[in-house]
Amino acid sequence: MNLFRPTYETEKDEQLMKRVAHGDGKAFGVLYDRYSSALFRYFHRMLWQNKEKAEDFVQDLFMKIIHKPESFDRERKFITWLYSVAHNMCKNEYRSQEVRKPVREEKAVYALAGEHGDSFGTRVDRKMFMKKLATELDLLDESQRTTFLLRYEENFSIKEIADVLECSEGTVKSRLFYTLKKLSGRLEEFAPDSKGVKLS
Amino acid sequence: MKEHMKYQPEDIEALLAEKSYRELYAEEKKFVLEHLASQEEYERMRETLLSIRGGVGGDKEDLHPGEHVRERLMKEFEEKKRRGAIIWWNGLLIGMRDTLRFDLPIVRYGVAVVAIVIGSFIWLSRSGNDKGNEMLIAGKSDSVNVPQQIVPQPVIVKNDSVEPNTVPAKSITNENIQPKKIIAKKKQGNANDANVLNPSADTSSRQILATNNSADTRHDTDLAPKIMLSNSQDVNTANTFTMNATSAVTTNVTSVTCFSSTNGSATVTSNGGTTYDYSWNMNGATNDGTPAVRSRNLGQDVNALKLFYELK
Repeated sequence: MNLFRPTYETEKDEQLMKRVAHGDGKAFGVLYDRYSSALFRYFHRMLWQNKEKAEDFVQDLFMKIIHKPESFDRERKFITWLYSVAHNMCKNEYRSQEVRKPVREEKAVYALAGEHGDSFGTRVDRKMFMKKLATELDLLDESQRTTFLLRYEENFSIKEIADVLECSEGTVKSRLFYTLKKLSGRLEEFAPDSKGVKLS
Repeated sequence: MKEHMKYQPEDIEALLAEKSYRELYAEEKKFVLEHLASQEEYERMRETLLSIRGGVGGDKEDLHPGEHVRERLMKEFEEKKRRGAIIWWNGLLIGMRDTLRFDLPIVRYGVAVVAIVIGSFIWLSRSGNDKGNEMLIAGKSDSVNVPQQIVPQPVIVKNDSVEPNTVPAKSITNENIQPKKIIAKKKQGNANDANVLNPSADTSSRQILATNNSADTRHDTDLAPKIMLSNSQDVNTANTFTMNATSAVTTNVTSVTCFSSTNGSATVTSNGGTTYDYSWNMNGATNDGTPAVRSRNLGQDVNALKLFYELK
């Protein structure tokens, strides 16, 4: 009996991934439980709050792990590799949806305008803010949206984001700055000194 | 160099997260105002950032994929696991990659050397087998009724003036003859056996090596020179005849000599300059297409040839 046998829950992602490659189903289950929800949120945000699509993408991503575990780059951290795969899946989806994009943006702008009209001058709760933020995020370009979500939703470090997106840390910081600047302008009504709403 | 130059515009994000405008040092305020229009803009961005940080994280618990996704994936995983060879192969690949450290040049060179050694070993083994097979055939023939003989044979002098592809044979002269041991392989059978190939053939001892351009020397491999006996020759009466090269990859037939009605030899030079000596012995004729004569391959770059001939 091995008294020092590590439990799956305490094992590092990379070690679990090695087990997965050797056909360890339990290791796969632990990895899924660790990251499925975070990835689902990520896909949900990235894919226009479409839950069905987000679910499909989570499934596809883990299918890739099942069928091609050797594609995991051991030189990288598992989590950044995982998100870089997710990021590439989203980029492919954007490409395939390119024709529909203008319609979607138009809808988003109209929705935003309508919400502005309804809520302007009134106190808006956090839910409303999040709804508006989600709409605004949809209007950002893909790289800005990914950077923003990884930073503020998944709490990735600048270095990790750079690893996922395969760009420099300076680029990540720059994107964050300009995205924030853009969002603060579009969500001006929530600012403390505006005549508009104040976030509760 | 100014002190604030150590900042980049994107570093404002860090300041926004940590300090209100009032808390900034003078140097930081100066830096901020270089990139933002006003204190108000700074405060607005800070408020947005803090709202986002609080807000985006607030509804994390509400979003999860359905349980059916997990079930489907686990089922898929188990199905794949049943196909064990693939799992095993994945494990092997990953294991090799982790163990061998291909990023190190010495490992890459080492693997290349090992591959070359293994490849050479296989190649040499095959060559050895071919030679072994030849010896086996020779030994088998000898074991039937004709002992292997070591017969002194003349070396045929190359005729450099010979035209490619159509080369007249050159008779052996005494001064050209040098002692050389060539193993003349004889097989079971005699001249009468050859008549089975063509019942209407003359049953006399007049053996014709070739009719016009029809008798050919067949080759073991595509690399081997292809040559053809082009002249009908009565080997009982003529002691020279011509062999023409028929393959582009080789050859100039530099000389052919028939020593008697039953044996002879030829020298063929490949385009690469390699010389091949052939000998044959008609006593070895059989009716089943078995080569009666095995050539002597003096070159390094082709396999041994087998000379066939047609009997009439």
